[in-house]
Amino acid sequence: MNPIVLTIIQIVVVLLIAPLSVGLTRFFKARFQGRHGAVPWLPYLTYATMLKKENVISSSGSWMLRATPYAVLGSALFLALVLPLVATGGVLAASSNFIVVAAVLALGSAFLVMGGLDTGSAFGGMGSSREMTIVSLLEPTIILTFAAFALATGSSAVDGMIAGSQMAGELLITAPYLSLSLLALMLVALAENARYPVDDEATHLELTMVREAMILDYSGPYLAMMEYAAALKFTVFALLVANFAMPTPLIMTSSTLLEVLLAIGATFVKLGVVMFAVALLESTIAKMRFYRVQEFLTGAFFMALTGLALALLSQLL
Amino acid sequence: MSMSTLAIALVISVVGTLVAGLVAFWPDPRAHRASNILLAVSAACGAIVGILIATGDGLLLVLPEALYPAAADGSAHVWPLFYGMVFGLDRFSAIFYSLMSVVTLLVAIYAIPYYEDHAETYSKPGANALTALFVLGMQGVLLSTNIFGFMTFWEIISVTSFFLIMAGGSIASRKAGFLFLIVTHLGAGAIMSGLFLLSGGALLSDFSVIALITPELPQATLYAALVLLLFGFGSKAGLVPFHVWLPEAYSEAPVPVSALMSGAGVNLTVYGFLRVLLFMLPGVPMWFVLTVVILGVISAMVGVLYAVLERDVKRLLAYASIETMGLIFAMIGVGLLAGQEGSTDLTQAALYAALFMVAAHALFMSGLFLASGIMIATVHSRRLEAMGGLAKRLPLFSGAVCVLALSAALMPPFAPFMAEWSFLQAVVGALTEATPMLKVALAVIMAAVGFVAGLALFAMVKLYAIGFLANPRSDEAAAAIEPKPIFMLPVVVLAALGLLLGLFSPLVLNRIGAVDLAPADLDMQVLATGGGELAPLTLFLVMAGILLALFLLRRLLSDVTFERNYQTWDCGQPTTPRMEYTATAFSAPIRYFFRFFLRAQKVVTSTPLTPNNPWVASRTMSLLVSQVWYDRLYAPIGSGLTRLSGLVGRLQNGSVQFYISLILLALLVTLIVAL
Amino acid sequence: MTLLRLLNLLFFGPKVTAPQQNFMEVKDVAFEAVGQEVKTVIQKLYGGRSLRIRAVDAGSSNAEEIELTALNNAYYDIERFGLSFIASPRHADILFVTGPVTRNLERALKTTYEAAPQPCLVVAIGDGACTGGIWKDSYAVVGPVEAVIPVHVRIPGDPPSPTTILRGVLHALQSARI
Repeated sequence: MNPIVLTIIQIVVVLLIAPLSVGLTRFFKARFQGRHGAVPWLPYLTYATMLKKENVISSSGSWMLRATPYAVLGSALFLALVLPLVATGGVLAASSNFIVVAAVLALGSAFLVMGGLDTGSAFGGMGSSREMTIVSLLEPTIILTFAAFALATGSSAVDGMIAGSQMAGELLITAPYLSLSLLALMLVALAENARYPVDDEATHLELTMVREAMILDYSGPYLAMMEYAAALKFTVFALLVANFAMPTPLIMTSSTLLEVLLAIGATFVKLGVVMFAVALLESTIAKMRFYRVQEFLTGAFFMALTGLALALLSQLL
Repeated sequence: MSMSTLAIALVISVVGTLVAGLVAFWPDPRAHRASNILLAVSAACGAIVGILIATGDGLLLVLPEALYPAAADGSAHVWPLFYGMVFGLDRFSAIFYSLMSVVTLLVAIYAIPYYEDHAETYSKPGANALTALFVLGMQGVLLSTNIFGFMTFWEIISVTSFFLIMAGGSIASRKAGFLFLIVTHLGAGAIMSGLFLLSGGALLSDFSVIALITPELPQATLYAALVLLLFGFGSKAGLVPFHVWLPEAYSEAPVPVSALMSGAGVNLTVYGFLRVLLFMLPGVPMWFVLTVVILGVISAMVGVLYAVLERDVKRLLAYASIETMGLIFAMIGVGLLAGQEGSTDLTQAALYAALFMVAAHALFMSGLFLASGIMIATVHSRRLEAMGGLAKRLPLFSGAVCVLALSAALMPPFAPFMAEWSFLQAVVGALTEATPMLKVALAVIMAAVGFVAGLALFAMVKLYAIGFLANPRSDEAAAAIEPKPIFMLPVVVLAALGLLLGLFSPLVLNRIGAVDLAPADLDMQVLATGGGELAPLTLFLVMAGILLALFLLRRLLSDVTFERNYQTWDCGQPTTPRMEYTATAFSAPIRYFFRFFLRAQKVVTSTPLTPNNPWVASRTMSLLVSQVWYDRLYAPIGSGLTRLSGLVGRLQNGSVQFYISLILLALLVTLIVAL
Repeated sequence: MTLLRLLNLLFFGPKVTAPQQNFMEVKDVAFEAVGQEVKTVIQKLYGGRSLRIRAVDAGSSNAEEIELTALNNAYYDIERFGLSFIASPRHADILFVTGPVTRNLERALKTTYEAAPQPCLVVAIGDGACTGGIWKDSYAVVGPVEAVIPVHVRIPGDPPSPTTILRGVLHALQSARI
């Protein structure tokens, strides 16, 4: 199969299932709260409604307010294009170098932060300050985590990290010491996606918000873009973590049609499992007070560092 | 282009600079413009020569010979001036020469409106003449091939920058100037003694001659020289803990001078350091390399932390400059360390990444300093808290600054990111085969670079967001208008250059000699090191394509005209700019998380309406970020020196007989020691 | 272990909202019916989309707020009909206004209405919001909500029950031509 087709299949599948990620977590969380909950595909309807609504733009804002939705969604879209989520060996796989991935992720967050500050509201500023702190302190963790994977698989492109493990069987079985790095990656994913214990996406109280506070002032199509970007990023992280943790075949250039369908089916299963896990986590732990988040971030950092140290040690043996 | 043409152009660039300095004193209102235009033209000349030599293969331009080609019988002309000293550019110095010239060119253009607008603060002839002399000093340092020339021009730089820092005339600028003078002269003394130790005391010996002597030097001499050189260059580069002068000097100097110092001047320390380490020494001991790495990493981390906290735009940039210099020295250190441990790939990648970072730093830092000048001129304050709302009022300028700030924050696809990528990727690649000791060092370095990159993003987002976004926090900011095109042009050009340098980084790196990092067989579009590849242009095109697709989709899926402007959602109570997040508030979490190190003291004082009424009439908050170095290192040294000078002062009792007897005593001691 | 048992009970056990007859008499069949109707109407009117609500307190006695909170609880759980409460009027499709508009909150109500993107429905909830209630003609209140912003539907009651509120929403959707 042509690498271009692989990339197209991947981006179409990921774009289509992205809203489901948010919907599924809310659905599972409602069940854990003993509620019936909304249907998992409600976000599709919500985003469609937002697209048709009026766009109210803050008169305090500058061009940054308008650039932010594009930059944030663009950054998430870039990740969905290059990372091995549904297919590996796509046409843009070479761009999935982990340092680039970390930087593009940070770039999207930087714009989100600037958009939050541009409205001039105190809540936007507060959310921005918090988000910026989380993003900047996560940077070393992301780099160390992926460095351990790169060391174990011999590839610096995330695509290569996954592809290598697909061939060999299971990454975690051949290199069990990577489980710490994987755990660090999960913590990174939680913090990056405004999940417990760092942030609560369902909160209505501005003082506890991180991500929500920054998008309080967006409406209509721009809000749809921001929400969709968040869902997309969440899906990307969920599938990435799933691909590292539970190796299921991804689409490759050599795949047959049946394998393609199987891989797409597996994507849904992976998404469902991860979202269930997230909902379970969010139903069992409490959100951290923001000024205690440093403990979480430090923990993630040391986990990543230990993971790398173990990877280095295992090479000596 | 023939050698002699290049040589003539080079001479023009130097002489033009000198003439620009003289023209400044021409008693005519046009002198200011003429001087700066002349400086710009000669810098353009220098930039062309520098780029041609830096990208040429092994081209070496030596001034007397290129101008007076050797006669047929092989007897070279003897250079009549300066004791027959030889000046020249090789590929290495040409890189710095071209960078310095590009920055000078843009700063000279910027200086025209800047000094016209600040005529009451700065004397135009003085500033122009000193700037030209400063540039001449930089040219001289890069052209010199012996200790005497190097140190002479180094001193010219120091002295002119001292006067330029004090040009503002305020007490703060005088203090900054004297602090600068002390540190820079200690540094210059250390460099001079270090070089003399290496050359065996010869003043005029050529650098290539020193390279022949150094392998035979006794170890103790070599070590002493290394320590002195590290202190000398490190203090001038602003490495922690010798950095205390830098924020003061950069923030008090006139903006064009800050830009010149940070964009061109500070690079010379890297040049001098590498010139000695790579071209004059056979090898350096392990402890020295580790010291360089540790100093670099600490500087980067401390610099970026203070940059995050800083609320004064120029001081923020100064700390960001310390951070980048720290990164550069860490890269150099890792390169040398890898060389010692036998990872040659990493050595090349790290050293070229450091060089590329120098180039990127020159562009974005001078650009940001020039931009800060416009911001300060607009709001009449250096405080970020007085800015805001500029992006709406100055859209084009704010766009350029946004690009510069993202560059400085090591974001793709700009030039600094390419340097960071090359370095980190090479480090990851070297992890597999490195020796255990190197592995540990590299893992720590990676974590540190990640930390610095993250916080650099914080600092730069803060600079941009608080300075430019939201509602104006002062009347001046509210009344801001787009600056004059000529004022803005250098900033826009520097932003564009940073982007282009990033996109064509493989080409540039290949041309300056990094053939492994940017291999020619990949069409010079791909950086490849340590098992990873990065195609900057492809990356940029993918990003641009995504944005274009989103732009079209937005128009396709929703109605663009269905839009309304309304005030920010204020929860029912009117918002004022005073409610906006400030720079202090924005960095509060970082201040809290690193409180064990920063020891910031927040004091909130509330004044009650009357002594027994709990209602608060006013409330003030002050924040004091203590400078650990200053309190623990500089203050004790300072007081010790004062005590010492008090003791020495007792000798100055005014009696001639006493002085003569002292001289006799000194003579006696000298004789005893000498014999 | 206790936690696991609790989670198991919550996730797999009977839903508080689902099989009504298990623990309730017939009473709330009405709520279910209205809810289902709202769902179909939302689907019809908005082409199958969701509806996001911003509650605005314009000086109520908090009785209405308690009923609105009840809409969110596990018993009523309006989320399953595609309705949800959100944090900013910029995100809202529908405004729930409660209480007689006091002078202090008049501006807040106006800006909230202006801040919400069109199309946006306004529902006045409770007697205070519909007519001014027992505070009518007081010097401290401006009057009913419609004195400040256009109102699409009024839901009387002091306070109206969740079922009434939901029925009001249904009316609002049916009457609105959006």
